[in-house]
Amino acid sequence: MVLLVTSDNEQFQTEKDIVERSVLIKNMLEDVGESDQPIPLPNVSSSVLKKVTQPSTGPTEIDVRGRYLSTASTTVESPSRPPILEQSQDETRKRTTDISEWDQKFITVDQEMLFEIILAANYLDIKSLLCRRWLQDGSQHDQGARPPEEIRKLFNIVNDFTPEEEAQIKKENEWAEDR
Amino acid sequence: MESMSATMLLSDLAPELIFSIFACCDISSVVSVGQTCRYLHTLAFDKSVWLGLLNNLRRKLILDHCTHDLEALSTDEMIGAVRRLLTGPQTWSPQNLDSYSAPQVTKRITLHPFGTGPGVLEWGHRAKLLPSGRYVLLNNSGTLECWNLGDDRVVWRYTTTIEHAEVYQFAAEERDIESTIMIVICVRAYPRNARRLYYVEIVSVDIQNGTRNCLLTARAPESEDHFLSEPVISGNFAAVIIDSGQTQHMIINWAAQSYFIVDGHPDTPSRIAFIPQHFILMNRSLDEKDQIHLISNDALSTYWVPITTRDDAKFSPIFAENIPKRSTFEDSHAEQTFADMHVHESPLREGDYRLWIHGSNRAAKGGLFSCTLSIPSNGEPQWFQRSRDGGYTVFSAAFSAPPKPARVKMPLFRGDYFGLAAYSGVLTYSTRSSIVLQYYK
Repeated sequence: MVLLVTSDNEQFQTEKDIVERSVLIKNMLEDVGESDQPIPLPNVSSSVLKKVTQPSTGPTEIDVRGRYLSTASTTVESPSRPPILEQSQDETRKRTTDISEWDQKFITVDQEMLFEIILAANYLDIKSLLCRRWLQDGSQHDQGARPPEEIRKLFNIVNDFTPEEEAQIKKENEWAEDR
Repeated sequence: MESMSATMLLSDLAPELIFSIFACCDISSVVSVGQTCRYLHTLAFDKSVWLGLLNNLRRKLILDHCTHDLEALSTDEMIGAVRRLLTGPQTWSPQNLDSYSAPQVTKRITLHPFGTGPGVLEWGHRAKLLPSGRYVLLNNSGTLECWNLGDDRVVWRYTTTIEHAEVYQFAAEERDIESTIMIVICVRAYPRNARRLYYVEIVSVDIQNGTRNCLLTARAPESEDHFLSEPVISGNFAAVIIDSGQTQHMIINWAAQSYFIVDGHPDTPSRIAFIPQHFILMNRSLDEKDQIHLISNDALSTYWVPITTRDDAKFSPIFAENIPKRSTFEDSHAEQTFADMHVHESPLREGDYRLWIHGSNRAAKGGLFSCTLSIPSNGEPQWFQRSRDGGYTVFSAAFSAPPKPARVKMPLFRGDYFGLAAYSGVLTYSTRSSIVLQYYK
């Protein structure tokens, strides 16, 4: 177990293999060696650290975000379904309707947290967290990359292209949607 | 973090941070983000981003190392290189199928492993370009040789330890650049006063110095007289055809030292490729339709039996029809027959695979077409057949230009006499005096 101390002075006992997803912490641990010294994280708040260190399995409310924390090589997880819904009884309903409902909720509720997680992930150097999951797997149709419209919504991006520019850019980049 | 507020925008993030996000995304995601606003458009099409994306493709061995000096390319040229991976060389797909023109050869590299002699096409000397584009493996009269393209030099040679035997076919997989390659080798032995014996060997070789480690030597059961052919290897798996009708594959898990045999349609060659967690089987169905199946490795778990060296080992083949399929591709027009298949990861998306199928149809005769298999992490696998260029590349045209000075006519028949690097389109073939690599525009 490793003791982490956040910017708001909360202490977290965390499994070593979980915190070692962070290259920053991994390097710190290697520098100090085996020791009980707490590791200070002055740029990460407790609420963000909870999400960053939450294991990707286990039915807790944080799993709604926690599923994004698993590493990229995991291929069997269901990226667009929060694990919490796996507990739900009505399998069929979950597959057909909850996905978009949940996506919607995620978009509106978690935008602030999304940016915090990006910044924390960057600081902690957790590559798998750097929102590739949001970009690549989040699409409601589970087909390839999210379309630009969805990314705008997710990240609060203002479309400042003129309609002509937008059409031109869409045309130029059609090849990348090709299968 | 105290300045965090709900009104924060992605464009408030430092370019370095956005670049590091791009660095772990696939190409389709970067292009998608680049279409959201001006700021992100500028960042997404920054040269450094594409240099990173193309280097990722090189690490995955999808983009070869010899065709481009990436540093010297502009962003547009790098995008062009990616698009070429999808379509094949530009001059393979003439705009108008009627105005038939030969593909333009841009570069030709010749290796000289056989001394001098007339440049007559030679089937015996099978040569294959490794995906990284730096080395050619070839069978030089029973010895496997690794040649460096850069300086026309043999790097190492491999001879089987089996007595009175020679290498005659092989396939290789690069594990990572400049280190280990895994090779599956078909070996033919001529024991004194006995029938010919065929073996399959799996060997890991250090590409730099030829240090090798033999991981498995096996005989296909009841295959004394059967020519083993068309080996493939990927990850822990290898496969080799064990009968003269080209329908029975011996599938080997060399890490577990186990195998099983799958039996396909009696009159048509079948092919196998391995991708993570699955294998892909090209086969003709009992009702005479050429199909490509995606089969989950989990569906095979009961078939495996330990590899035995006993001569009287019996086996019961698993009929391809009986293996549970996760998904099946059939050409929508059902006019095509499939003869050969090559599969690699899609350059655009994680979880997508590109299949290059050498087949024929009435319109284009011999041709190479591609389709994409998408395996989403949840949901059903899907197949996408390319339609924009009619689905067919006039691949036969690639063979109409005889390489000079040798008066060589390239075969239009099956894809097994020559090596074709599917994504780069480099054609590798052997003559009696040399190995030739032909690059196309």
